[in-house]
Amino acid sequence: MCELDREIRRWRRQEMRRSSLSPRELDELEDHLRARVELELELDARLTPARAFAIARDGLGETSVLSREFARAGAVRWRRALGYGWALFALSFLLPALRFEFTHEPVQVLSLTGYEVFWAAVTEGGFRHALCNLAMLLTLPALWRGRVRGGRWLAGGIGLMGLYLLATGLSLPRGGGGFSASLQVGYLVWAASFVCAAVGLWLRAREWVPTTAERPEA
Amino acid sequence: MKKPVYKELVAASSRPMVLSILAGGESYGYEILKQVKVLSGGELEWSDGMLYPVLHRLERDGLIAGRWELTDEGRRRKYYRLTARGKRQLARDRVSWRAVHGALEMSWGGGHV
Repeated sequence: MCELDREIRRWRRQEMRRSSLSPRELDELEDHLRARVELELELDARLTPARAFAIARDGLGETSVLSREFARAGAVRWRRALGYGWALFALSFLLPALRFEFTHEPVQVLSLTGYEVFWAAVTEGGFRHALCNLAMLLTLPALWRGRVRGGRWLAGGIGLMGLYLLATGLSLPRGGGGFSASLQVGYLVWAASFVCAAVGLWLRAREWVPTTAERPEA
Repeated sequence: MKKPVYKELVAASSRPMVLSILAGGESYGYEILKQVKVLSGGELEWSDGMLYPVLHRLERDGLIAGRWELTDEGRRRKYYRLTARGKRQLARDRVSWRAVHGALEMSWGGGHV
């Protein structure tokens, strides 16, 4: 059955590359394919294992269709959390994020939306803000195809960043110097979006680990 | 040669069919497919790829639960069993399908067709 094992390894590699099937889903399909191959070989002893495997694989249909169906039917908690993260992220750009109050006469109040803060960060060298947003962009492939490189690291990084942002409010000028700044709801929503996305990536990573199976009790 | 059952009817009956099979005990994908074929006398044409999304949907809805086990050949296999919620759903499905079946039988038997 070396030939069959080789075919299955090749199939798994291919599917890992081109579909969004998780290792667990592939395990289940592999078991199905092996059972089907056994049946095909029983029905026609002249078949080679490779040919029997091809028949079994064709019987399963297009795995791209299957992976879409799985995505629709399967456990989608991680995708939902990541989706909420992105929804919050987008919303934060529209909400007021920072409020400056100039205490010199005449007193002036300036409120900036998330987008305005981001734009100011890009144009005026506040790269830390911009980098945070860039990290969020790295999670997009996961939302799109269910696959992302270094998902655990990204989840850890974004999660810590979100918590840090929530806890410290970055390095905002606070009081003194003639004006004070305060964080608005947009900033909190922005920081929370990172935590939400991190939770989504973490849940996804948990589902993405290979299965652990137990031997049945005798 | 008999015509296969309509796809829509196959899809609609997939839940009660899987739940009924699992009511008889734990089973896995390929075995369930074989049982569908036997139970329907080959009239219900379930493609291999059709079953797994159904199983995953039922699992997501809490009607069945899956667990992984190593087979004698050292393969990982996912076994599914009916949950309490699945049993209740199966009872409801049974009532609904019997009602549909009964009404059709009556109408055909009564010479309406």
